Amino acid sequence: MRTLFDVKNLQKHFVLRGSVFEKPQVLRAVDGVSFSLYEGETLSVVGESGCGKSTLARTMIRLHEPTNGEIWFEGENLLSLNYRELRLRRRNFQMIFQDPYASLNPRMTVGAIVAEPLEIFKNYGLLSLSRGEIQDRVRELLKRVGLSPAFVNRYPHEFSGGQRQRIGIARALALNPKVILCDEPVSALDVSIQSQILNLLEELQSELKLTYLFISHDLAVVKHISDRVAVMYLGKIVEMGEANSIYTDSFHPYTKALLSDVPIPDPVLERKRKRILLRGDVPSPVGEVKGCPFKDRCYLKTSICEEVAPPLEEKEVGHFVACHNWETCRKYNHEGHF
Amino acid sequence: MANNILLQVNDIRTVFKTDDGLIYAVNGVSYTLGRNEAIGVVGESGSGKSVCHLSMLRLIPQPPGKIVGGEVLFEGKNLLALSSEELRAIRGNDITFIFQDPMTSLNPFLKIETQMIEGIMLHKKVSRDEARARAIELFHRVGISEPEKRLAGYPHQMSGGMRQRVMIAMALMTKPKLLIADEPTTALDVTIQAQILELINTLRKEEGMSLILISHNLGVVAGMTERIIVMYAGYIVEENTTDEIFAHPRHPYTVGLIRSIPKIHEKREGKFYSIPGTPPNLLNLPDACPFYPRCDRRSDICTKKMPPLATNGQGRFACYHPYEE
Repeated sequence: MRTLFDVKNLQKHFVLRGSVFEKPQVLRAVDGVSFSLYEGETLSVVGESGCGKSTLARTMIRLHEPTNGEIWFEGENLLSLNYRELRLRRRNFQMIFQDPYASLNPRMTVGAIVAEPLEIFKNYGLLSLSRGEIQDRVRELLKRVGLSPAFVNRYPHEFSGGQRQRIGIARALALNPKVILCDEPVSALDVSIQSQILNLLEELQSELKLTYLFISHDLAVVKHISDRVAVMYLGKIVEMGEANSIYTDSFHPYTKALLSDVPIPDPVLERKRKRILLRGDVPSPVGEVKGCPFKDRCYLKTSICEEVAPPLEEKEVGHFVACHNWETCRKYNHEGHF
Repeated sequence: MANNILLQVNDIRTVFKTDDGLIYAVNGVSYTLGRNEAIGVVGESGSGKSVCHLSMLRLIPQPPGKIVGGEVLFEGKNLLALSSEELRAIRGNDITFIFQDPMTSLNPFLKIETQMIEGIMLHKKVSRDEARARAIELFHRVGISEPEKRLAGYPHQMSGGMRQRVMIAMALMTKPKLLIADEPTTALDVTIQAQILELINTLRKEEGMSLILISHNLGVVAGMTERIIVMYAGYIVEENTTDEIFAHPRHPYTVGLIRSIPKIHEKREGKFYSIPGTPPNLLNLPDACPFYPRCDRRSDICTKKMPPLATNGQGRFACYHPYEE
């Protein structure tokens, strides 16, 4: 399997400045994340709000400048590139956003929105397409995402959420990218529309050999579309592995709790099921954490967790976890007995 | 049986005036709710599930909204015909509401304490100290630590999950007979959602309340309710016990909705199931089944007349070509 992205110890810290008299505080949105993204796969990044999953996606394509770490794309260090070079590389990785209402410019026609990446690269002198060819490409893209090519002269407000998300996908496909970073692409959509978009993403993947980094908080969706899953908590990956092993044989107590908390649309199962109820809220990512970031909510905590942050280590082939007590966790049964 | 009925909704209809014409948001919704009963109202955006329940308590902005018909009998009193004063004596007292967004439902300028005790002081003859004691008791029950400190604070000092706990505590201050929770956990993370749902469930049983849980998430509703109402385009299209809705859905929309949900406990075979098309435009809704353009069981009659909501055993459904039991 060819590696497309290789991310090493990536950090993105934001400095929060209060008044001039206060010491600035550091928010560790992404705090030492390492992973590889392989060609043709779907790697999902899951976690709760504030865990840093969106910041991770934005930082790995330098929409945010990383504080520390390395980002390799096809063997090239993205951090060594100047801005112009970086923009040229960006045709290889495009993004789809969560909110189909905010991510399309309301003053541009659908045609102009989808054509914009092409126009930009044409202006760089990197694409020699005539006006007519660009228009043909836009029509072809709209058709490909299930919209009528006749929509080119319409405006985003004339479309429903699902249709807008299709427009966003057409725009992301315009430059034939290799990787698409999908940031909660179906979270804002109704369930009957959500599956239409998921099917479209899967069709496009197999047809165009796309690689997806799929960011989501919806564990049910992630289960069905991912080859691999990375679970994030407080800016760190706490578990990563094949989707199937994450869902059926998880090593991290946080992953276990997340999975047990997803409501099942089946009253009989739902009533029988025991949830792992975590205490408290996700702690603030501001400031330094001593020991394991999950220790305050963990139900398997031991004394070492207070002191030492567990590193992310490969415990079985392809299955990484950052937990001192992963073996206990693995045997831990939802119902509360081992 | 009659005094076991807490709420009876008869043919409620709400429209909104816009520049493009009338939007038919709620188109004749009728149902009854028993004492201590928990029902779920599910549907997608635009199905009228929220507007219907806001209309029942006359909480929609009028204009542009207008309740054009129906009655809402709460313990025999028609909420739509009461004077504002009489209505206020019930709303916020016997019936309370939890809204979706914990970030905007609290007033950022007022201390939590002021907001917590405002309602009960208005409705019940209690002293400030008694009200405060009730607030502290409820904060303990909903799992807010250091209640005294929290009461003295402001909403921005709390996380989303914490604010939603405050909203729940606030809704319970007056020991209501009916709690209407409109997407109470949609803005929350899944681990917090689990805590909040568990909490609502426990408190409901302890306090002997009825619950109307409005949600787009069938998973959330499945574990929390005894009966489910499915809404589409401002109509009730199906109603049944929670078990029956999932085991034997009759209306094609309900069937499609259940099949569309990605399920964490199942393996997927083939593509994700999806209902083709998009929800209807509520401007000038014709007299026809609102679901027919997306339905694979439709025939001529579906395009000509809205199917009546027929009673069938313990359930109801509005479809000419229902799935078999």
